[in-house]
Amino acid sequence: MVLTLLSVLIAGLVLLALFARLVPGPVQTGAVATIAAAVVVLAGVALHSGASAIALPIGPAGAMTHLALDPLSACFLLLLFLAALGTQIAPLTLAGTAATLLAADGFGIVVGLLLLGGQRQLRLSAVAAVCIVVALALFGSAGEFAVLRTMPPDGWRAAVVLLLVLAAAGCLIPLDPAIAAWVMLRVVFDLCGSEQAVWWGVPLLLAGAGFAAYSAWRAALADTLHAVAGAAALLPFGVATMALGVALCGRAVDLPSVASLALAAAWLGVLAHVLCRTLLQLVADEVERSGGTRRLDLLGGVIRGMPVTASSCLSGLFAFALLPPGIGFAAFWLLFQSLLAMARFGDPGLRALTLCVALLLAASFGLATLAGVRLFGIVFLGRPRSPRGAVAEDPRGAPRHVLAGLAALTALLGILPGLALLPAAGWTRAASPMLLLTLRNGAEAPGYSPIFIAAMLAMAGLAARRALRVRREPPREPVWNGGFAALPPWLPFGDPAAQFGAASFVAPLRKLATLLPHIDMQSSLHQMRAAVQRATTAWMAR
Amino acid sequence: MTVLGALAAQVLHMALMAAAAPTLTGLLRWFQARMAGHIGSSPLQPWQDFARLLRKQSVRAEDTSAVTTEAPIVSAAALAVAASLVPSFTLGMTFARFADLLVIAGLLALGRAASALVAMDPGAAQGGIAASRTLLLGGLAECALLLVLFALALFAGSLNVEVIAAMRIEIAGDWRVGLVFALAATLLVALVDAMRREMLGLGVSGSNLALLELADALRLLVWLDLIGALFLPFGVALAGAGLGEWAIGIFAWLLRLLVFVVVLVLSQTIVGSLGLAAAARTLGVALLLGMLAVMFVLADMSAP
Repeated sequence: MVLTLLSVLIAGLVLLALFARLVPGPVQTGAVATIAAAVVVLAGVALHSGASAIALPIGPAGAMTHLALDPLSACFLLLLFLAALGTQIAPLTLAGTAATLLAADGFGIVVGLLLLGGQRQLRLSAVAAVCIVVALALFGSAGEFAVLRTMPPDGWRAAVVLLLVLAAAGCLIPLDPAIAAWVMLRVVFDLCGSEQAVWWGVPLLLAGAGFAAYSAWRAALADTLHAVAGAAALLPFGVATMALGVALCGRAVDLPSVASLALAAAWLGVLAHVLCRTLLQLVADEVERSGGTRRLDLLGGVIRGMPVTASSCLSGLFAFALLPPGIGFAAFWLLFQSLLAMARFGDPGLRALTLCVALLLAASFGLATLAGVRLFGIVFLGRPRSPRGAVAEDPRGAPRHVLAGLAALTALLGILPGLALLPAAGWTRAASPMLLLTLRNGAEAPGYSPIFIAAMLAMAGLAARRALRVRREPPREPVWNGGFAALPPWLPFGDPAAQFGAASFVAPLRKLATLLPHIDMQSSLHQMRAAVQRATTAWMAR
Repeated sequence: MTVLGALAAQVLHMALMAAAAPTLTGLLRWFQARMAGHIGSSPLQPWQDFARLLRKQSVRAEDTSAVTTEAPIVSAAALAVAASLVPSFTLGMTFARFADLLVIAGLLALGRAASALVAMDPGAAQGGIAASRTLLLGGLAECALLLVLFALALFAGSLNVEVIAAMRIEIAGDWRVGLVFALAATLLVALVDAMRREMLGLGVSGSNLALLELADALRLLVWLDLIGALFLPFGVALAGAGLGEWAIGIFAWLLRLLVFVVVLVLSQTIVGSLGLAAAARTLGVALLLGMLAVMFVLADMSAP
């Protein structure tokens, strides 16, 4: 019943996209929002009622399209459509997301991915779809998932399946990293069964660690709001990918507790990614709309006109920067614990790997704080750097409520990560009652209790505020600016170039990075191409 | 009774930490001055400074936002919570179950981030430079600290401070190569993180400045207590110990702090003040030592 309603809603989204020109804009936005809300409600119902499956009489000749709704797909539906409520996403993309998540055979996944890619990124989604279909074909038949589960691949087939799925996930990252995580979970965890080799987790672990460190590095160096927001949101996704790798290793060496701990970390990572992405994207859009630019070096002091946007940004950055008690830190904590458990019980090869992974994880932890403070400090604090930025204002009406609501949700889930783990209990198999207030790696083990940390911080903060209560507003004086004179009236914002900017902030970091072994991708590519050309001409001349 | 005892230990611990933090900083400064050939101000000078800052009317820089008043509170609160979690004279305090090393590392980072935001709020150049340097060195320090924590947790099987400390007390003579490297890395990180002060408080005054200074003092104390609890927990009373053992624990804790202060000041006198490049290089060495620590602990585990 739920599944039928969901397929009707997907059809409605596709129709909306087809007749977009006939429907006036506000009506379309309203319809998409209504459908997204309905999908969220239905996914919630499905989480409660359990798995179901139907076959639709459409598809390739003589076959049906199978759709299925299990806890895994219901979880992702709930998350992605909840995030879609806050942002304006094209109806076709939403239809593609829902179709991919509900697909229960190869044909369904192909249709879903192609819809998701749309016209703009058709090539990437087509490559991903081909990879997945070939991978499913290696099972023996690209038919219904229920059949595939009974005959997991083995030997070289299994290895090729893993590589193809990783390639597909890599193609899907520019489209939607959450869908990439879902594809890995569905094919590698669900369809391939638990009888796989230990090394399966290794590529995921390394890719995730590299991805996390690289995105933290990008977030620290990028010079536009949107670039920082995009890179920042990918750090939790890297954490989730690492956690998937640990879960695969844990399952292969028959440590179900490690696997479920890591799966919980992966879910929290995906959740943090989606929340961060939505929230920071909204903040970046609002600041650009009101401040007139997305360049960090032209913004500044925006907090005065945009307090709501600034606090929402802080909430998103808190989740990204892996600081307690945020949702990103909860994912990081679970991942760290599962890595430790894997290193303690795993085989020697895995142990050597954990050193490398721990180093990259530690590096991203350090870089993330720097990137978060840099974004907030440059854009929201200090003096305005442009006239337009000086008069930036918070959005009014619905966008303001959406921002505040998302920020509050992110903060709440950071304090109560158990709440976020509840819907995923069906597939992570993490014991939920134990995890509600305190994240633990064992029944008796001491754990991480974000609500305790938050309560202590609040108590200490309130005590300090009461003790140091200021009776009257202190007078304001010009700041001592290293001996520079006070600003002349004809230069109200000072000379923006004389302020400490986004590039200056990371100058020491860049200098430090020159000490690292440096690979110039561009020139290496040039050299390779030249070598190939030389070899070709030599061969032709022979 | 044990519940009450644990609570009493926790309250006593928090009171001791609050009393020790400014005094320790004062002692450090006094000893530094003596080593440099000056008479030095009294070790209790930070207390007088606090009283003076709280009494004075504060002045706010133009163009500052609510961050200038709120972030110092966050910074001091984060460090205060961290200080309440690291054991000083006894184990088995009420908060022992929550004393996770990753959380403590995260709270140190949170305090640092909040202080950096305060420095950036007035929009002056020095604040930005100070924030950028703090975060760069802090990030490196965190990186090395996380590796050390990884090594310790591999060794002890838990990330909880109390579990690790209890294990160290049990096998006090066991100094594996990995642990020695971990101790060396932590000492280097503590040396840089606690001794190198950026001018974060240039744009603030009055009670806000007092809070920032308090956070700095607590940071030094948290580092020294962490080293004490993780590597050298001599004399620390076990959970459920009596008053006599507490007294021994407090005495050992004070002794440990004094020794650390002497070591810190002597090494600083020998090395000289750390410039940015030198500090980064020191932290790089700490990072390398942390990696070696993890490697040796892993090798130990692989050996039958």
